[in-house]
Amino acid sequence: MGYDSDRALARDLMTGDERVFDRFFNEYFPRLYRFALTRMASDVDAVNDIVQTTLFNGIKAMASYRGEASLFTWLCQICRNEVNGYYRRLSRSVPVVPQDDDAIRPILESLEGDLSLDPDRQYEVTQTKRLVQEVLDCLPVNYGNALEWKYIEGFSVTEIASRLQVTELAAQSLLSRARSAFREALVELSPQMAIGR
Amino acid sequence: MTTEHDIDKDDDMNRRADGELQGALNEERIAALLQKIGPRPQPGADVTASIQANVKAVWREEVALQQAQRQNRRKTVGFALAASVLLSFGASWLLSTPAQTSAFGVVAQVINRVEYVDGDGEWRSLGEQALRQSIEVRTGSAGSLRLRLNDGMDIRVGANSRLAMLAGGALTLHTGVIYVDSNDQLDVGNSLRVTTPFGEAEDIGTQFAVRVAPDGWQVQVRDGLVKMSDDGLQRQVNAGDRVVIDQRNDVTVSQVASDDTSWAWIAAVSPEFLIEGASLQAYVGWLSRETGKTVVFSSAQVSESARGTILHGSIDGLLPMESLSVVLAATDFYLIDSEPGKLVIDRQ
Repeated sequence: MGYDSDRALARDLMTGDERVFDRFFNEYFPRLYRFALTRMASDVDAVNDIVQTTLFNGIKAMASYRGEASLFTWLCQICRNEVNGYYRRLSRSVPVVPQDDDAIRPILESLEGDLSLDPDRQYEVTQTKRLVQEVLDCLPVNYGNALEWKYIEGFSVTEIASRLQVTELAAQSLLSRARSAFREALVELSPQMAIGR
Repeated sequence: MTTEHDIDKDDDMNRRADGELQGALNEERIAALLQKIGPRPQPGADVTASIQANVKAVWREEVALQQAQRQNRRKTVGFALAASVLLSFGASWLLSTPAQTSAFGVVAQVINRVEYVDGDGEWRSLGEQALRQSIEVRTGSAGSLRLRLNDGMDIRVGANSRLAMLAGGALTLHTGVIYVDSNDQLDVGNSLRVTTPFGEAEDIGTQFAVRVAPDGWQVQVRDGLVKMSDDGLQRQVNAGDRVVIDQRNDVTVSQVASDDTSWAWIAAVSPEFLIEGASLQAYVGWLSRETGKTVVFSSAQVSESARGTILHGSIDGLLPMESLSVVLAATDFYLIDSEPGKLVIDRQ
């Protein structure tokens, strides 16, 4: 799968057009911030430095981006290295972040239960919530935003269409695609979620 | 005109369609899950503005740097190398037209103002040329260049230098500094000789620099051996040594690390390494040669992994040390801070 639009963005970014830079920053900074936040839960103060350094290094390396992964995935790899380096410098082990393995599934599935019932697992639940938020970040940016606007903030399709500057029909179509993409990404994390509990 | 009722109907249709595709993870469950998770955290406005300003400053520098490097890169040549031609010492210092003779090398890179002497004895701007006859060049205060000979030898000329080169490979350094990397191409009896107003340096090894100033000259060796000859005296300079001989023939010997700052100028005219399709291990070999740093992997296993790690992209325009973070950032290898002169790479 190619990432032609990401490759075009990477190329256009280095032409010096400030509008492209602002678009790049607005699109990727909040997502990288959350990516780092998930992995720096015990050092939230360092998150800003980590993300800033990630963007510095990403921009310096932008010419080497070839579109073999999404630009976000590529930036996340740089961010992951920064996080690992941070903990290495402190001679501390990198906090375990739930990944797509057996450990996450019961936690993820527990999100559908009553979170307040299991206070001992609040940290894990918080981390897993962040991981699901990360799933939203890994979707195309409009997908993640549309799902959040619709189901968390309660926006109508009309309002979402207005925000995206598309027709309502296009907004509905986008929401449908966003749900499918979200479901697929979530099922990769926890196959049990696809069949209900 | 669309009403909320219409939209709800559309949503119902979407829900049914999704249900077919998504099994039990339907819209209601997605909605419930997202509501439970809550909105994604957002960085504060102040922090965002501050980081945006900082990143934008770096971005501007990088854009300007890349544009400047693209302009310089246009001056770089990549001529195919042909057989060498031996000319007599009495030859005039000329750059020939392409059709005249086979090239014995190329002017591979020119940074800023560099001039050569034409057939009329006039100094003219040096550009992308094959080397077909002897040449005399001079660099300005910000100029430097790299010559690449057919036998693999790499000769870099620093700022404020004047160098004459015969087609046979003999060099005369009138003033300034040159760096020679023979890339392990020298055979016995095929050494390179650098003549200066004070004496001669003969390359027996691989990487060294010769510097000429009004009050004397010096040779420093990064790797291999160089023989200095001055007023009948001969001295062997080993790797890691710097020998300075002044006008009164006083000799000073000191140590110079292979990554000492006195080597730093050569990075501006380093040969490009094409990382696309190259292994990480091959890249590290180039990096070590260019920076003078010992670059090692933390274990044989990591080294083996590096051998099988194929790189993609480009480090065009980056200085060798700048390229390291760029290359490693896209891999799961990382640099361990180590003692001076040594870089250790590990794998996550």
